[in-house]
Amino acid sequence: MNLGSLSIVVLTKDRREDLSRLLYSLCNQTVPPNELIIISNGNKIETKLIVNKYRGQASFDIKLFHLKNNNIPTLRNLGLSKSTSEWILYIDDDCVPVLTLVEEYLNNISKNKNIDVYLGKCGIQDINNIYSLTNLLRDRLWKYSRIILNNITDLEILDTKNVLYNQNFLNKHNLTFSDEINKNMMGRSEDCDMGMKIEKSGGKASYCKKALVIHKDPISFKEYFDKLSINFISHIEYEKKWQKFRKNKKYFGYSLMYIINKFKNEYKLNLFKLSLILFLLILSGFYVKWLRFISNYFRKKSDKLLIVSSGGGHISQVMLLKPWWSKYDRVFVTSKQQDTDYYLQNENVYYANFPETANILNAFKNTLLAIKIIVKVRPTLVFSMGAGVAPPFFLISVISGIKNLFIEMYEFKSSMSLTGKMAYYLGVQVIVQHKQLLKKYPKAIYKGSLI
Amino acid sequence: MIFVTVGTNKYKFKRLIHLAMMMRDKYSPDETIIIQSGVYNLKSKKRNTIISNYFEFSEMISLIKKSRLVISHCGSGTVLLTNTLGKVPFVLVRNHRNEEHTNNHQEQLFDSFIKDNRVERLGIIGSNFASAISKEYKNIVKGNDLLTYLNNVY
Repeated sequence: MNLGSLSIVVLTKDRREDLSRLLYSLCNQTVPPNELIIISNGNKIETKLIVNKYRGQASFDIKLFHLKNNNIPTLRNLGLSKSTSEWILYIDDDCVPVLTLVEEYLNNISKNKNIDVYLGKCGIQDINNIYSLTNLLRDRLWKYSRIILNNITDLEILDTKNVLYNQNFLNKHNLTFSDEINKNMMGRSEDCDMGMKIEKSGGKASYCKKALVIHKDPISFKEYFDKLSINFISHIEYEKKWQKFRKNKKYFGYSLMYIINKFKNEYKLNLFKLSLILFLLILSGFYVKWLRFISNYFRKKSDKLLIVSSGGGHISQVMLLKPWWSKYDRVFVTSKQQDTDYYLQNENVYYANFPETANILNAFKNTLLAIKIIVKVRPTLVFSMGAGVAPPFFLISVISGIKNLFIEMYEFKSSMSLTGKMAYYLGVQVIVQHKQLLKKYPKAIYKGSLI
Repeated sequence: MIFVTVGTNKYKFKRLIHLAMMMRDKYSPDETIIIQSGVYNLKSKKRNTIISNYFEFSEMISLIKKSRLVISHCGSGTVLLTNTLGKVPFVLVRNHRNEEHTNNHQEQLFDSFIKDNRVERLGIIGSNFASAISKEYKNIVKGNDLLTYLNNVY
């Protein structure tokens, strides 16, 4: 691997004019890159014709790969594996870079040694179009609120439109674009995901404002809102994945007014146009909120378990069933003590009122708690192995028609526990671990024992 | 080192603690005994006797691993934990009559545990106290039927 060398990776799919424009500006760079890797998943012959046309003009290698795969992260990973340089630059095929792009990046690389990722600036092709401007402002607000003096404080904004990764760093931490993230064709956000992975591995990023690419942004009302929807859908899975990590994360950057003011000066907007853009921006904010509401409303209800358990033997027998319940989303209700803390380190836990056996006041408190938790969590199954904390939850689940399951502890051989009996007579499905209990409780089920 | 635990039950289990301390005093007076006494508040002036109501869970694990003898009540939590750490504890059953538990279910549990060699009766140590060692536990896999049932139905 040559030190300080730079490869460019471009993904393309049947965008002939855009690709030619990009190739033209890449061939005329003031400092040429080491190689250009084009990965196409569209028409084989057409792409080849265009690339061959520019092969003669370029002073560097152009490699063309075809892959019949619609999964963008997979294509990006292919580019990552094919590159032979230290630095790898991703550009979208609908961008046109300035002629000094590679030079600017190489300058920055030689100046500071401890940066692992560089993010370039984006501009727009049609600077008079309101929708393009709004889209750009949205982008700027997102990015500049996380950038201060070229330092990036939140690596979520590393957008593959124009970003330079250090391949040594990626290899060292074994980072690739995760291709399991998107199930639907349009949803991606693998670049944000990559950024967060880099941040988790301790990478540093810097903003390079002279490395400018001109992006083809939406130019009509329909295109603009289509783009918004696509962005929203692609972001859902990403948000879910990093929710926990980002919860306590702090970032800072330029203030809102500063960004808008700078944007206004850069594109010489008059007040009328600016207010129109801001209006559109607010409208799109409402639109995204509406999308979020709709997607929450129509989301397929996934199975969610509510596992109620006391400490001691109860929780340790529940842990034996981990291969079963670990497949589902789950919430625990338990007591706060050493063993439950240890077993349920990474779980979502509520604490009930203890001691609970033969304690009327706590039974009442737990009933109120059960109502609160069941309304909040909306489980599809309430599961317990005892002890006294379970009946209030079963009572509420029976009243509200939620499925429930009680597994009698292994201890109870000739008679059921008090909790078991209460559950049985409440109409909860009971599984026992000894066959002789079936005589007394015929509605119970026996399927072997746990221990 | 001897480790005595009565689990996290909210009933006192004085019988086990005093029995263990007595046996230690009689047969191997120099050995350290560490007692997790639960809700029973007990103090001892002896140098090699450590008593605490509860231990941190990670501490419990290391104590069980390190000790020569593990003596406990017959609660499924403690027994399962000791077994997963590769040891067979010597147990004494909590009795309902002495107000040591809500009912006599530990007797039933003891019957099934001793069949699977998960526990040993504390009584069999007797005068061999100074030389007895907690046996190594050999893993038995059960519960697959129940798990497949749960996987299929729920």
